[in-house]
Amino acid sequence: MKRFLSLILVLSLALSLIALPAMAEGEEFTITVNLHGLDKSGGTANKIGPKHAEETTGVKINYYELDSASAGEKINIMLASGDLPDAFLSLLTETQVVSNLPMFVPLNEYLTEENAPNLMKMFEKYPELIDMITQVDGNIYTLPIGDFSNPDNQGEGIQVINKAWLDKLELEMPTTTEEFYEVCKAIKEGDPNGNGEADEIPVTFTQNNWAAHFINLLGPWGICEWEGGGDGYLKVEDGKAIFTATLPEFRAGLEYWHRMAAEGLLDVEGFTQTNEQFYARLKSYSVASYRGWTPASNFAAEQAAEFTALPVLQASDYPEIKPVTPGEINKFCGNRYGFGITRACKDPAALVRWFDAQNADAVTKMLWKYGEEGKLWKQDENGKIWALWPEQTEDFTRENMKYTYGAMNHIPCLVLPEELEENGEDAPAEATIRLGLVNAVKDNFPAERIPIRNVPAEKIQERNMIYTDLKAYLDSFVADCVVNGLDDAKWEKHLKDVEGYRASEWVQWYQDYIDKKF
Amino acid sequence: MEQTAARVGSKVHETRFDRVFNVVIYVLLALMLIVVIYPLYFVVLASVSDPQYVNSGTPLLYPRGFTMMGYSRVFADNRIWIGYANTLLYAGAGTLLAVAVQVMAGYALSRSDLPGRNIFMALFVFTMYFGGGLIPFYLVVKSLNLVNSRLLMIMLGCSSVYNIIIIRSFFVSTLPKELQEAAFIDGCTNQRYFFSIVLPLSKAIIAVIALYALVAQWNSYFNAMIFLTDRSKYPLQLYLREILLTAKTYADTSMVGGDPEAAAKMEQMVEVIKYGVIVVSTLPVIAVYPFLQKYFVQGVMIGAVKG
Repeated sequence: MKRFLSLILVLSLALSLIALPAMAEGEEFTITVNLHGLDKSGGTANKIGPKHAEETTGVKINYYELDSASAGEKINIMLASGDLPDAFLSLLTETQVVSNLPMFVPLNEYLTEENAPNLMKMFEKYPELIDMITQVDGNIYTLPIGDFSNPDNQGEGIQVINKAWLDKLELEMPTTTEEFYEVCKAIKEGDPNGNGEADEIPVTFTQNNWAAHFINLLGPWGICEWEGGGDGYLKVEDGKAIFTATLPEFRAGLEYWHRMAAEGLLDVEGFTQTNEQFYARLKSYSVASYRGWTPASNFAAEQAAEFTALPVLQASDYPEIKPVTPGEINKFCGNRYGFGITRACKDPAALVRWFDAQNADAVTKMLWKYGEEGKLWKQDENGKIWALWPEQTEDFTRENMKYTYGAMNHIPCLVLPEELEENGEDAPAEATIRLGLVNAVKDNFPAERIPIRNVPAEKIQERNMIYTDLKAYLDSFVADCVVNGLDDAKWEKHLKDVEGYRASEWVQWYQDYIDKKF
Repeated sequence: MEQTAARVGSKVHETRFDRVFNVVIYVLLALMLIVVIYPLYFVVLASVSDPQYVNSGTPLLYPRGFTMMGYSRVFADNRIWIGYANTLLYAGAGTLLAVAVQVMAGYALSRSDLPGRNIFMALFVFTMYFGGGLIPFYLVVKSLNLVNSRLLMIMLGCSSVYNIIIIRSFFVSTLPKELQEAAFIDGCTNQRYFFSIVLPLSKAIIAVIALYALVAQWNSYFNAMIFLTDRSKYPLQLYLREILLTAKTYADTSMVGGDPEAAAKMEQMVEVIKYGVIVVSTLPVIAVYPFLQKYFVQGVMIGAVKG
């Protein structure tokens, strides 16, 4: 019996020796992926991108799907308890990465010519990527994914106006704030929607929709939200961080909008209304001008076509200021924290190789992003890839297709600008509305941009500590001024109060960031 | 109203003041009823109205822009049915387990002849004020190999200290010690006494606890969100949360992977099904309530007053 047992032992040992090299080919990893609400595929494993990846690399991936509503909590628990997947794809936030660096594997030693040739080629071509993904300790923990850039995403919310109403009332397109005031007055009185009631609201907004914040209405006075943060209370000129909320033009802007509000031309409910109420207001066809992604998201095609971009207005009282609207030319749209390999992974080199293989060529990337060729994309004879707009139904729109066939920006690869033409000549008119809006205003994007880089976790915390209170104060000050008006005493008090909320420390933080002090 | 007042008055002579007093009371009660009923009524109305009217803020008294689109979308969504099946399992089994555990615990703690019962009680109450926090909790569950298991969903919430206190108070106040002594003199065992005498006498408190446990199980999503990884095990509430909340998280382009066009589509979808989903998910609990209601007031009061 004993001999028999030892024979089995020896045999199994020998077997495992034979099996080991083969194991390396058939390695298995668990990766968390994003599950989008419009996805009707029934699971990531059913999609062509993952299937193709398994066929070409021989690596088996178990996709652990998380929806974005619970991903934040779940990932926090995973990071805190150490019950980790082999890697996170998409869904990681800056804070989660920066404050949990020990949970991730530094990838520097795996990013070599032999192990990751495609990534190295990409970094060579776009060296700015390296700065973006390098953490303060000099290591790279996450790899970039998504779209490198996207022409539609250069702008943020764009102010539009109902051109058909202007034509109906024989009004010129306004270019200055005073002209805009006259136009709004005419709309208020002229009943352009033709329902016999004076229910028109010339301008609305909401603080509960990222694209429609009030602060961007101060664009004529050179103030708008800015990519680097600060919600419009901060701008950068000639490498100097400037606090906007104490500038005289900030006051002028608030006074202008108070006048608009007092005459019923600005919908002051914007400070409190929810996004749903905002959308309902737009749909009621009583709003002349608002800020949004594209009118096509809020109106049926016919009504959407009535809207065009409102030119970025020039402040009549400050002709020397160049008006602005939020956005950035050739903005980086990728996710810097896209793919992070955790300490739980037994063979990070293999997983980096797998990720690298997904970045091998444009077609592989398209399989991940848009699914099979011929549905949402095609490659022409020159090898160039174009987006397609197939027939859609009410229950299965192009948005569903994007997430059912592919995974859009939640993919293990970075689509480079030269690899995909989104707004090709085949694109139908409604697909290019957004690009038209962006092109109409892009000359007025803030001129300065600051390179994106990582900062220590405690620095982010320090900034957020100050900013939470400061922002709450400023938001309520702005709302109060627009609704109730502003006089010298109130402004003086504001200038003093702001210091109590440590505004200058906050601005200094950004100045130090710009000067690379940390 | 008048009739009721008259009927009361047929026994005792009713003065004019009494009559006015009654009218005032009934008017006040009617107002309170409206305050309570209208939100429920609104949800039902909103579920069959065009979202455009619902969000515009005009109060609804009857359906406007009648549409069953919300319901047809809800019923076409596979996730709702998977969630429904799971929730029925978790709520059903969870309620049974919770009632069994809590009634027995409450009974044992009500017996003055249980040695160290004050120590047990103190330990129980301690957990109402102090907990280990989420991460230690997660680690315990993980070390028990219960992460991602249906059993865990049924077990969680089976030991509510609050309910145990209510049950204990109920037994202390309704079951005299003499009853137990009489039973024991006749040769009754502890088990027999509990099952044949105590349980039949405590239907009211069992109904109350069952309803508490059922509602808690029905509405809970957080534990499922934290502990379940397999989507086929998700309860209904977790799917509802997913349907209602994910649209918002994708809207912002400055968010990673933001896609405003897709987010707008999802928001439209959510607007249409939001109220239908609420109706579908709350109906079963509302349907159970009338059957337990007669025990409800009685049971909860007995348990609550004498603490």
